[in-house]
Amino acid sequence: MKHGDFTGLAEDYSLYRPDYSQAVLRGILGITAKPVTKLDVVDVGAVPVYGHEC
Amino acid sequence: MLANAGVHSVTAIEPNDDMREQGMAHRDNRGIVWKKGSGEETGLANGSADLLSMASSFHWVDFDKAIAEFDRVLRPGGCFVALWNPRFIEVNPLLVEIEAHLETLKGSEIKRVSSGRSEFTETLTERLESCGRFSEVVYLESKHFIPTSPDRYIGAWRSVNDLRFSWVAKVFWRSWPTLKTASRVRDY
Repeated sequence: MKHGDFTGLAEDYSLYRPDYSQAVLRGILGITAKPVTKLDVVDVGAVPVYGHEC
Repeated sequence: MLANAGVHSVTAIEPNDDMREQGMAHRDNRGIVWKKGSGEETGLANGSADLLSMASSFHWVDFDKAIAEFDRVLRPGGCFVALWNPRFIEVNPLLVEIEAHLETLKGSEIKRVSSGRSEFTETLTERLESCGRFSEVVYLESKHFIPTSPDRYIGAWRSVNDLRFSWVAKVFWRSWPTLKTASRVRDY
């Protein structure tokens, strides 16, 4: 494994990393220019936000 | 989390094959489209996103290249979000003890790039404001509490890249049985 290489860490990352703040998520969605249901969202380096249990 | 919020679509860009495959196989995948790409080169079309986030990962990319890429991909009025989830170490003596232990091993041998409480994030608002690509920069912060078992806590440390690849990290990991026992004692 090299510095910055996340190979082999995915399972632990997905299972054990803490969830992000729901209040911050609501804040983010509250300042977007469109209604939530019309948002096309992209996450880069995606496991923390979209693959994690919440 | 955002996929569950009812947005129109979610595309996940992940450069690491292992991480991407794990995400694709996850039971909460909920229609997320996974693609290989990076912060500097997402592979997405011009003006194809309203909200683009990097969660606990923006400190890994080339700032100027990634910001230029996000400017290209975001539609007018779109938002870029850089997000971290730092621990509030000072409130828990065990966390303070573990961090101190890590510091004794660290020296010049463990190069830590993360995390959300670092020089990178301390100056990020100013860097985003001065880069000329954003009309306004908003800073949000919230404290939240996550009950964490010893196993989950140690599992989270196992997912930290810079504590997995150096020989000093092996010393660090040999300490875990002691720390785990200590955490269990304090858990009761």
